[in-house]
Amino acid sequence: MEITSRTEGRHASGSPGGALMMTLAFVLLAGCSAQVASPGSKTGGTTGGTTSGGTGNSSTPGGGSVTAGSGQGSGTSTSGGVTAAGNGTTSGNSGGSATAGGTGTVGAVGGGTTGSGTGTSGTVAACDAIVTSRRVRRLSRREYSNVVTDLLGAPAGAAVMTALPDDPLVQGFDNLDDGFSQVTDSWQETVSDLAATLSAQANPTILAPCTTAAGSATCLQSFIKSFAKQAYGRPMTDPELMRATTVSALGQDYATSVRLVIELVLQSPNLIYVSELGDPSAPATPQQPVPLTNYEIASQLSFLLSGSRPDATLMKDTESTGLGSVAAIQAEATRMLTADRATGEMTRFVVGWLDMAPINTAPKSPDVYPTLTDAMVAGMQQEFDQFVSTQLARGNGTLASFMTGVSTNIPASLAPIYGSDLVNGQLDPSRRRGVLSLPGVLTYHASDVSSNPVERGLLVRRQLFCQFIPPPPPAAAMTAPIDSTDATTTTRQKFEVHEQDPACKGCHLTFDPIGYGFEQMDGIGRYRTTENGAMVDSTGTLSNTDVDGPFVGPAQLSMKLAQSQQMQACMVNHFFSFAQTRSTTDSDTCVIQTWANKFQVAGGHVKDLVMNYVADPNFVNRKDDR
Amino acid sequence: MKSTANFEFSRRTLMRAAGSTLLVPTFIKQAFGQTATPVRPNLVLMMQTNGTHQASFWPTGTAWTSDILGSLLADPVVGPKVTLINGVNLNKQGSPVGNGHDWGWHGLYSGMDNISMGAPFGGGPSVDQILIKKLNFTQPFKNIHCGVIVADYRLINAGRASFVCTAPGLQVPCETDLYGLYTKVFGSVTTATPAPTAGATPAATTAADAAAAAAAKLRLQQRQSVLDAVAQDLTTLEARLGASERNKVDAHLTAVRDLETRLSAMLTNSNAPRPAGCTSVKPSMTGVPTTGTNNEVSAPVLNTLFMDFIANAVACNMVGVITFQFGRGGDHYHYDWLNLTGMRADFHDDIAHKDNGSDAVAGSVMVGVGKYHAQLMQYLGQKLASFSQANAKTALDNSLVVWGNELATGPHGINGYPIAFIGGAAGKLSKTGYMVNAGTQIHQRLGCTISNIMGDPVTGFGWVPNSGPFVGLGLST
Repeated sequence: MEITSRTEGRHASGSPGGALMMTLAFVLLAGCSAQVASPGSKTGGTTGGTTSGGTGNSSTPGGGSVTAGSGQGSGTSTSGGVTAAGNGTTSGNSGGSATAGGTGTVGAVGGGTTGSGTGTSGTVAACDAIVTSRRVRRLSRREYSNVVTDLLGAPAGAAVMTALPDDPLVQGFDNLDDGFSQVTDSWQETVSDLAATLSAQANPTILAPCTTAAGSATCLQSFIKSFAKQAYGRPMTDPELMRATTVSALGQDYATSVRLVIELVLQSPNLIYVSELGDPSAPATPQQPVPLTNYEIASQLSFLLSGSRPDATLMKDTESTGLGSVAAIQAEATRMLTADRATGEMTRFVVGWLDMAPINTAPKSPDVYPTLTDAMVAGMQQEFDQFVSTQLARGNGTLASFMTGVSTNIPASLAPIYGSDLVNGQLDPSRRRGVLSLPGVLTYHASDVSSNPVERGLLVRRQLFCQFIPPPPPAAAMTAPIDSTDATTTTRQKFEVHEQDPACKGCHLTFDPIGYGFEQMDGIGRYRTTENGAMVDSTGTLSNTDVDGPFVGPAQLSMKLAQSQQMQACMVNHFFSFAQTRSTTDSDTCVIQTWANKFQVAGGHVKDLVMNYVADPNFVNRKDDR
Repeated sequence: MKSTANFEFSRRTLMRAAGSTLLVPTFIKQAFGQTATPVRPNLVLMMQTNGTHQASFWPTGTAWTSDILGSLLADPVVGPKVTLINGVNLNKQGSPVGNGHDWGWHGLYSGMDNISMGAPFGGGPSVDQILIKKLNFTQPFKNIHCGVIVADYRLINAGRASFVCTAPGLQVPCETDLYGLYTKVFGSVTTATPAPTAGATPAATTAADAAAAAAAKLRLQQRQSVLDAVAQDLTTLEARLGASERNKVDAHLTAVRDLETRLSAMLTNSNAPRPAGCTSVKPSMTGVPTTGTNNEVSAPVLNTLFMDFIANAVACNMVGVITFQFGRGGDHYHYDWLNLTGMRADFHDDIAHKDNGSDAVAGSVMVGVGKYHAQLMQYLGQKLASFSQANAKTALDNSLVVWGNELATGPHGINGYPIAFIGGAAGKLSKTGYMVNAGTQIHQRLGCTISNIMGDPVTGFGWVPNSGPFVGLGLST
């Protein structure tokens, strides 16, 4: 049988955000037979096979009015003789009127069938709590490359990408703070060698021009200050300037002095880390908000929307008018959202959210897809990027348009893929709507030899509804009786054997029926009505969501998804990790729910999501960790 | 995997460690030599994937052979230095997410259950990272983590990108650029001049040599000065941090100080001898394809070249601990280059998972793949044996190569991990050339054994504080 490697891998991976999902009413499908609570009817202690515990209702924070209550929930489950229990509390320190009960956090994942728990009334959880502690975050390879590109040009940035190893992807993102390892000997050696090499290749005449041919101390000081400021996103401190000056003095000539400064700056922690520490002179205020400095806010904004340090305009505005008001920050965000780099960052968010990577990394069997060419795959990538840009990234799009819009920028190389879907250059919206209909997405979320309903069903469950699907039993991958090489049945018929096997159907019935709805699209995104001589049945079913019901094909599914508040909230959950550059925890629940409500009120406009985020106290404050 | 074209090392490239563009004089070329009889073994941890065919792996009866290990065990030099550890079972603490691939990938060398960070990630530091923090490694590089990752399957599970962790959830990225690794590790010990005899007077230098030496010395001093400023920046930053954040900056600071130390060695350790062979570390990249790097065309050549690199790096005393992974966790190699009869579309799904005793073809292919890996280990052993070290022993005598696997059997089996020690471990193993067969043993004993051999007298490992080392394995104190 061929569940395929990637299905097996997805089995092994949980949903992003872990336990947090459940407190957002994205309820655990442990045991894969649970009924999922609808939004707003949150229950506490959701471990176990069914949702359980927590008799109180959580209040719904929204629009800045803080009304959540804290509660306690507990749940127990039994699976295979092993009992798992979960207890959790969520509490806050202020807010509006408390409602009884509340959200219990989630106990250990069980695979059982029952659970129980009680919720108690409690104090109020504040949604304006600061949820991220003071920290320094190492730049990812990509971010470091971007900064180096800004400083020294594109070839230097490319050299960074070549020399440094990949950073680990956590929840689809390459820069989550909790995914980074500590700096090792080898990493430092590479960065140091890079700094030496790139500084040697730098042209001091261009970078540090001086009217005096041999240079001057004044020119050197000016260069040190300006170069470091761009690299660090803030002016140097006096001790830093002194150190740089000392280093530069070892140069035999002006050019060498300039290069030594470059070499220092490129490996300084002030470049390598993003500082989220606040004013150095401010005393510690344990557990209280620490305001970020204006320069730190500027870097937060620029890494979010450009993946690099502040550009000249942002730096100038930061120093002239400051970023002390929400309006000022939003004005900068509005400006930056129109830039290509913001589109790139939004695409990066979408790629992480949809659990994707470059489409050309999806393996495809040449035996099964002999007509698939590199040009077609490149066309898929181009169309995907364009779609994200048009429908979402530029700030004018909505989540609904992202899910239901029709692709209009279709590369010629995709004509063989679209086939009869294209009439006079236009796509048939009854077949193709939204991002899930794009050949690139369908190609990526498929196996190398087939469409793979499991893969696509899990995409919807895990990534779009933030529902946790437990891993299969360890032996499942070996025993599933599907033969991918059987040319006498359709893919659906092959996978429907899951329903006959008691060991499989508990879980597979939660996502296979969603995946079946994609069956009219093959493993490289081509529309089909037959497979192996039989009619393709592309009827799918959504269950355990707020938009349950049957559908046929990804276009109809997308129309349903566009109406889902659960999916909106799930996307916001992913955005939280993307924006705060860390994994979510239970303590983030209230904040994320608040953002989700604002996002919904704003009509699902992604631009507003960004604007609300940069206006949030969590954007400009950190919790004191000292 | 980037293109591997133009693999000839340019002289300029090899100068980078000393200063990017400057010539490196003879005395710097001779730096980093092995200076004393090793009291601690060179340590190499290998990680293979997808298990083995148990019935063909272990010797039976009194014969020192098996289908899979035949060539390795019969090797007159390497075979007697092999120690097999039979009966090692995974000992989970709880019910970690994922499946056997994840449990073994993250657990074999850490002794911990993996954790969930969206995907399964390591639940604790691997033994190599523990040792480099606890012990005083004097090699220029404490650790290199590398591997060959070219299978045309995309990364399916971020946690499986690396089996080496410094702490729960914190991976050490796997370096795959062999070219870059050679440059990094051997950039200062290039090829032209034979190593002098210990204590010999350096050859007379010309005026040009002297000028080049002075320039290179200045350049190294400049690099040290730069690093010192970086370290001061780090120290200033560290002082502003809370306890949890301080750890990451502290590790960074340590790495910078270590690099300063390496540069200092370049300036002062001028006449240390190196083992024969360490004067010619330039690898031959012949046969490395320049195209098709997203498939397995490169794999067989790169695997062999990495064995060369590992042997050179440890034998020349450049790296304290090397960790190496054959692909990613749960990898999907096709092993097309082996031309095995019965190989199916995907080794992982269609062969390893099917090797349950009732699929003879799957079993046969598993044996074929196992033989390939065994022969690679044989090759590594032979390379190590070709280096004579300062204590009149070979690098094989002085090394402990641990050949592990994420799984015991292809169908996610976690009992009976195929574990082999290769090398004499600098005398820390009282006996080699046999199989430990002392019944079932928890896998935490592997980490404890490695630690003890390396000089860390722990009594347990991972989440089992009193696991002890392997029973039945003779260790010299």
